[in-house]
Amino acid sequence: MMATLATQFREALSAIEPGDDAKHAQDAHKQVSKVLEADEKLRKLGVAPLLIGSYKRHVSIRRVKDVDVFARLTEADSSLRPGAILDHVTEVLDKAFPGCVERQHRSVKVDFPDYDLSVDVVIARPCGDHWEIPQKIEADGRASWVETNPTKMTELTTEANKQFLLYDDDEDSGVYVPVVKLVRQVRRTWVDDQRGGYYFEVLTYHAFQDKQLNEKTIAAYLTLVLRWIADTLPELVDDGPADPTLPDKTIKTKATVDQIKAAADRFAEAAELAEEALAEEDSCRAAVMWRNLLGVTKNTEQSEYVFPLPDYCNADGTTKYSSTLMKGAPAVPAGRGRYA
Amino acid sequence: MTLPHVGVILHAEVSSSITAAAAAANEVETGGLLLGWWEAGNIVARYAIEVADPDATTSSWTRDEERAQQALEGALFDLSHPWLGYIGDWHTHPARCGPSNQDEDSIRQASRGYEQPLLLLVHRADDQIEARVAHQGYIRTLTLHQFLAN
Amino acid sequence: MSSSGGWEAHRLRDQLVARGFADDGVHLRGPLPWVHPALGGGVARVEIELDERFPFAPPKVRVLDPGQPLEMTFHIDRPARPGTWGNLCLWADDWPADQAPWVDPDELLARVAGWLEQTAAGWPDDDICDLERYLEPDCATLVLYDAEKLAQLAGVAVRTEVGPTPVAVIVTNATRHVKAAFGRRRLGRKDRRLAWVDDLGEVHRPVRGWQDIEEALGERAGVLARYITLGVVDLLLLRYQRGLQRSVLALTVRRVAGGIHVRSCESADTSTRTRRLRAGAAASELADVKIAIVGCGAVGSFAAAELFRSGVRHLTLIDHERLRPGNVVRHLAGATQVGSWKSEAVRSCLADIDADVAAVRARVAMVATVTEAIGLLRNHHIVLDATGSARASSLLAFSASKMGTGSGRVVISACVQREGDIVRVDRLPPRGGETYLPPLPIVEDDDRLQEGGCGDPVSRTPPGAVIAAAGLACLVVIDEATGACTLPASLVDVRGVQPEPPYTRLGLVLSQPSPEKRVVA
Repeated sequence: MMATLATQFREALSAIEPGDDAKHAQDAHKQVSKVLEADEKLRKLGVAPLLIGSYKRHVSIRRVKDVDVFARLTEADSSLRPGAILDHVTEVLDKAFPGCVERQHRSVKVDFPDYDLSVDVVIARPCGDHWEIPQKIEADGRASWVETNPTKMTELTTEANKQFLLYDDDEDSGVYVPVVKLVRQVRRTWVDDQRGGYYFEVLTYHAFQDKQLNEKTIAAYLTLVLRWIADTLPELVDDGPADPTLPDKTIKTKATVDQIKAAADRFAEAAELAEEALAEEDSCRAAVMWRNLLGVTKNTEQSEYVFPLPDYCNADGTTKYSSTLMKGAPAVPAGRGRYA
Repeated sequence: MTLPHVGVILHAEVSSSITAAAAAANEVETGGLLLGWWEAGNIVARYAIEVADPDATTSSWTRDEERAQQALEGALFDLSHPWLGYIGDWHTHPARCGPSNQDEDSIRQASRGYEQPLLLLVHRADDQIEARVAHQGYIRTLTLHQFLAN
Repeated sequence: MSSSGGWEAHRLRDQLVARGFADDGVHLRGPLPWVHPALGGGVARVEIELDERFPFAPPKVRVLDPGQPLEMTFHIDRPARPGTWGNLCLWADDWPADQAPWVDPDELLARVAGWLEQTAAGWPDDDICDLERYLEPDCATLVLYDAEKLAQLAGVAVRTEVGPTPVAVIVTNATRHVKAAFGRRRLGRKDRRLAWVDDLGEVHRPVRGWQDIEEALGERAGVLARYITLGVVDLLLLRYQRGLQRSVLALTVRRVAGGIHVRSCESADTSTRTRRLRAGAAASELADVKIAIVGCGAVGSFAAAELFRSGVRHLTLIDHERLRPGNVVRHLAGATQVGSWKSEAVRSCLADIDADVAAVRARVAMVATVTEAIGLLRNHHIVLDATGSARASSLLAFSASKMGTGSGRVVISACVQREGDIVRVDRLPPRGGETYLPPLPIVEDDDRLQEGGCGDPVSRTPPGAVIAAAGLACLVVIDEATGACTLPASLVDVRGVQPEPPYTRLGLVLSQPSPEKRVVA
């Protein structure tokens, strides 16, 4: 019989919940949107800021370091020069958040030092049913545009979380979102905690769809997803996984082929550890393996283990008899005890 | 420092085996080990096993380490209960009196070797069983709960 | 980092997952095969929750879907949310955690299957009268009623009275015909706060709301509903029967938008029979025994209370002193009685225990002459001497021996000596060849305590010894009053070791029983 440790997984999930970051992200997004919407020039372009990214999809994990805002310019046409607009957006934001704004290659970044997070503003123009964002901006401010559909992933996430349920009779028992969070945490622990979480979120999405997973515990879901990623990643080194939001497109990453190969090796190790943990009958030994798999919280003041050991376990995976129940002593007192 | 109060949960089997051993021992003292576990501030005494003392008299019984450890290991093997272990001593008094000063000294002394409190049960001639609890060298107050066998 | 769930909980979770349950870390949900007595086998879906009390208490189990047509009736808690079912009541008894059947998944699931089968079968042979639990509780009301007096009433409104505390309501047997009051716009005070007394008969499903009451009462429900709507009746007292057990369900009712809101309250029978249930086996025997207590100080007052609680109703309380503030520490009566005669203070304490004090007499007197002592013995079966005064005790002892054993009258003398180390009770006169334990000489105390002025010296006896003496005295009184006669003539409780034998060991020391008694034994 396997040690499933469902209560521990529940606590692990709450340990990687964004917590205060969620409120901060919401507030930072609001502040930036308000500034953009107040600007005359942007208003004429029909600015409609929209929160996107992992935070919007409820798959972000602690710590949330950046929030993406999609500044849709609904009235913009093909004459729009993204370089000039980004310059303008930088100027507008810098007035509102002096010293905290930085023009990036394709976006504008606003720091919120009090919250220890930043907002990335990406501009977008309509293109039929879809939106386009600048791919590469030339020195003269012109750019090539690339099609994108960031809200589609939000919809797919919601759908997947309704489709894959722990309890068939409970719509709120979705397992897709929690498993994405755990996969992101595994990636942070085993690969790196730089940007790139989306790549693995998409892999998780494919794992669920490909295998049509149906398990009894989060532990089992996570193990099967890690195995699928470990097995599939080597095949995706060149092209990247299919983009679920756009037909015939794949997800590109800035990572090099070697980096992806290295990541594949690490995921293979992680998957093996998860499988070993899942098959382990001793719950303390299993708990220590899960703890190693999920590592510590990143970018927090103090790094804490994500996966709590049960009270009755020692850190080395041996079992102590719990604080409420302690086994009688294995040895009688030394020497002789005389009773009269 | 506050002295913690200890609850003692005695299974019926413990009292009945001690009473039976006392009857069988006739006028000589006999005694042995208490097996059980510690649970949420309570000492749970589940079984009492006898450890023979060839030198026992009408007024004394001695726990010998070697014989006692052997008896403990044998019992743990036979009973194969995951929580069982040594939690204290018991002995009988052929007279109608409870624990003596010597008895309290001995259990206090023994308790220094354990993190958890030890229990001493003394069976009196009138079939009463009196209890003492010692923890880290001190006698503690206790409340006795008896469980009837189901 | 702490974590919920002990080893036993994790083990059970794993075992349930192995049996097809899914686990989100709080609830386990899964299939449960069971056999409907009429419809045959089916599979229910249940939810199991192991909270922090596990394994010391059973898991919470709820039915999500019985899988077959099933009406949930008894042995189920009220649901936490509407539209769901509450926790099943699977085990009534406590179990030590290591033996608890619920730590084993198969026993747990079998118990749930058994519960479903019992529910389908209508819980035959079940006679648990706990209808209160199926309704929202009204914790602010305790309904008191006399079951004997209400036994003949059904389908009537009766008056209520305010009880001894604000939460208590007394339901009387004074019926009130409200019909005359109808028509009028305003109700008189006499037509408010009435209780409706009725009989539900044998119940086959719990009362979960007004509809169930309406259904059970039939046409009487119409009148009752009108009374409730008008604000005439706000309390229901419903007798019911389950199997051979009879009980009463007390409900507070009020009109709300769209119906009548029903809540259950705690209720208690005030009939003599119920009040005496805890008095002990000898209560009825003691009811007719006449007992005098001479001295209503520390020992006498507690002995009076214990005897009265045990069922003694004919009591003569004799004392000539007033209760002083310093007495209260070792006396039954409290500070509010300071200044009363001790005998009267004790009587009033007894009246607080039970109103039946008609045959309890309080006398402000001393027993100073043989004539008075003999008079007392003639009128009582037993005289308890709790004076603690050697003079009064020897007077009573002399009178008792003068009357002789043939009179059947006895004096039981109780005292505390050696500052509470010795508690002693003697029964006089001796029967047959009975002997007494040797007396203890009085140890002179150089610094005796005294209240200001020149009253009697105050003994250092601690309150515990006083209560022990009263307890030992009552043991002997009851032994005598019931005719059991199993106790010897002297009993001494050694609470502190004394140098004089036989008082050198803690515990009870008894005198030799009479020779003929020994032969019989």
